This record gives sequence, structure tokens and C-alpha cells, in this order.
Amino acid sequence: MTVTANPMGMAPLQIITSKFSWNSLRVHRAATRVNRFSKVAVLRDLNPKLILVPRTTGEKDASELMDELLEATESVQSEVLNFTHYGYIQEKLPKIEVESVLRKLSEIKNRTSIRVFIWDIDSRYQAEIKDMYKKYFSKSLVHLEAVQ
Amino acid sequence: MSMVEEFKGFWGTGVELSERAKVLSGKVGLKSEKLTERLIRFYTAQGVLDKPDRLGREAAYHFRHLLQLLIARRLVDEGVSLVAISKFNLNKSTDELEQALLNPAKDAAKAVIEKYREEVVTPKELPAMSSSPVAIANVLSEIKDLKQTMNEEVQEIQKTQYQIDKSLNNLIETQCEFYKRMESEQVEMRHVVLSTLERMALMIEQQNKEFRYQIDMLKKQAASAQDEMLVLLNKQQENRFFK
Repeated sequence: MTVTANPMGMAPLQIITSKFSWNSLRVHRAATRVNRFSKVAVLRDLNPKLILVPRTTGEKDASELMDELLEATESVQSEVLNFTHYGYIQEKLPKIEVESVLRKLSEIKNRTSIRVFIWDIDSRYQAEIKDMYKKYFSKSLVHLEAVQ
Repeated sequence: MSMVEEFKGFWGTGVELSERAKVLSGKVGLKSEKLTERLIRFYTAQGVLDKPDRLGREAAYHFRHLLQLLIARRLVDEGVSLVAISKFNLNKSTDELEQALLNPAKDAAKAVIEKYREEVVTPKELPAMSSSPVAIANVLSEIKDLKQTMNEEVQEIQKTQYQIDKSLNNLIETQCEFYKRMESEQVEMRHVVLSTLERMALMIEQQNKEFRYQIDMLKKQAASAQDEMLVLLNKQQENRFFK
């Protein structure tokens, strides 16, 4: 499971930590480090394995972070990756960032251990993200299923 | 509150793990000087610690690693092999590791059992079994060799036991002699002290007699002197009266 390292308030990280009864202090500490050093972290003994990605502004290309994230998934040989970063969008949709993420994913198709990709999308931006998805995964659109 | 409570939320680099380990080692009665980042890297490579988390490309550790590191350090000091420690550390839950660290006696006993299993119970690899007579002969010769080795070891143990018994007997004899000598010296000493005391009592009595005799003599001299004085005084008075 990959989550934005936002240790404050009712962010997805807090909800997930509470849901799986993880040690919140440890997760908080890891998230703080991730943001301070702008590095992706893997907490491999948690179930499901947790991958923390530093916070972004949403206005820049996230290719480098995606490279790090994919390297992290390889290190734990993830076959299923739940991408939660766009499950709740606070302001406007970070189009540049989402496009760079999709582009990166379309490039690595056969060079990753990931077989199933679960993409959480904020329901307010479902249509827009679907359109972007079509641009990179036009042939495999059949796999795109909205789960409410 | 448990003494490890404050470390449960730990997550950090090898250097930070080393620092935390040094703090906690003092509380659980372990020496801290060997708990370096280098040792942590070595233990990780040997599989004594769980595979670490990652922060970018660096290793990151947490509470479970801290427990594993301290338990490993303690067991190494007690002479347990890294393989046995690895089995112990990786197969236990975090709660069990915490208990093992806080109750070292149980922990050490379990590790010793692991070591015993590893060294003694693991059977030597036998030649592949098949129905051919050559293979059966090989197995039989292997068993024969094992029996011979065992007999030799038993003889060695018996020899050592005999030597230990002999040494013990010698020790007991030496001790008996020592006690006897001590006893006779004690009797002699008592005799010397008693005779000295008797001699001193006699001397005191003699001195006492002499002293009494001298007092008697002095009294007699004083009495005769007094008589002479009285005679002289009487004479003087008579003279004064006739004048």
C-alpha cells in the first residue's frame, strides 16, 4: 500500500494506521523522515506492507518519485499495489503530477513485480482522471473499473 | 510501565538504532560499547536481525530490530552461535522478544536448547538410500564408524571422570591432614598458654609473700623506734624535774 506521508489530521495515513492498528508513533516518525529527506520509505514488516511517499505540491512532474516508488515496490516484490494518493484531493486536481504518474506506469508495464494496481480516486475527479488514464492505457481500458 | 515502552515508536537509521541500543542496554544490564552501527550491519547481513525497512536506499530500523540486537548481543556473550540466535530472533513475535529481553534466564535457556538441537540432533547426511547392496553396505559402514566414534568418546569421558575422582580424593586427603595438623597445634598452644599462666600465678604469690614480710619488718622497726623515743622523752622530763 502506498500512501502520502502526511502524518497530520484526518489524512489517509492516519486512517490507515488506525484501521490496521499499527504503531502510530512509528508511522508518524517514518512519515516525518520521509518528508524531511524527500525519500520513499518502505515499512516491510507491516501487513499490508506500507510505502510512504513524500508530500508534493501537485504542480510538478513526479517522475523521479515514481522511479523511487517503483524501486521500493521491487524491493518487497509487491504483486498488488494500492495507490491511495488521489483518494482524497483537498484542493484542485494536480493534473501535471497525475499525468506524470500515469506516464511512468505505462512505461514500466512488463518490468515490474506488480500485477494488480488498485487506484483510489476522489469521486469528484473520477471523470477527469479516467480521461487521463485513457490517454496512456487506451488498450487496457477494460480493466478500469470504478469501485464505489 | 515497561522499561522498553519509550522505544516502541522508534524508527530510524543504523546510527540511531545503535544510540537507542546503548541507552536500553544499560537498563537491561548489558555492556554498551560493542553496539555499533558496524555490528548492526554485520548482524543484518548474517540474518540475525530482520531485513530492515528502507528510507530511500538506506536501511531503517525499528523497535523489533532493537530487541533482536540486544538479545543477540547477550546470547553471543553467553557463547551461543549466530545461527542459533538467528533462528531464535526470526521465529519469535515482537512481544516474545520483549519478554525474552526482560527475562534473560528463560531466553538464554531457550537459546541453549536451540544450540543443542543444532549441534547434536541434526543428523549427519547419510548416503542416498537405495535397494542396492553397495548403498546398504555404505550405510552399515557409516553406522559402524559412528559406533566406533561414540565408543571412543565414551572412553574419553570415563578417563576424564576417573581423573576427576582421583583429584577429588587427593583433595579430601590433603584437607584431612590439614585439619589434623591444625588440631595438634591447637592442643600444643593451649598447653603452652596454661603452663605460662601457672608460672605467672606462682611468681605473683611469691612476690606477695616478700611484700608482706617487708611490711612486717617495717612495722617492727617503727615500733622499736617509738619505744626508743619514749625512753628518751622520759629521761629528758626527769632531768628537767631535778634541775
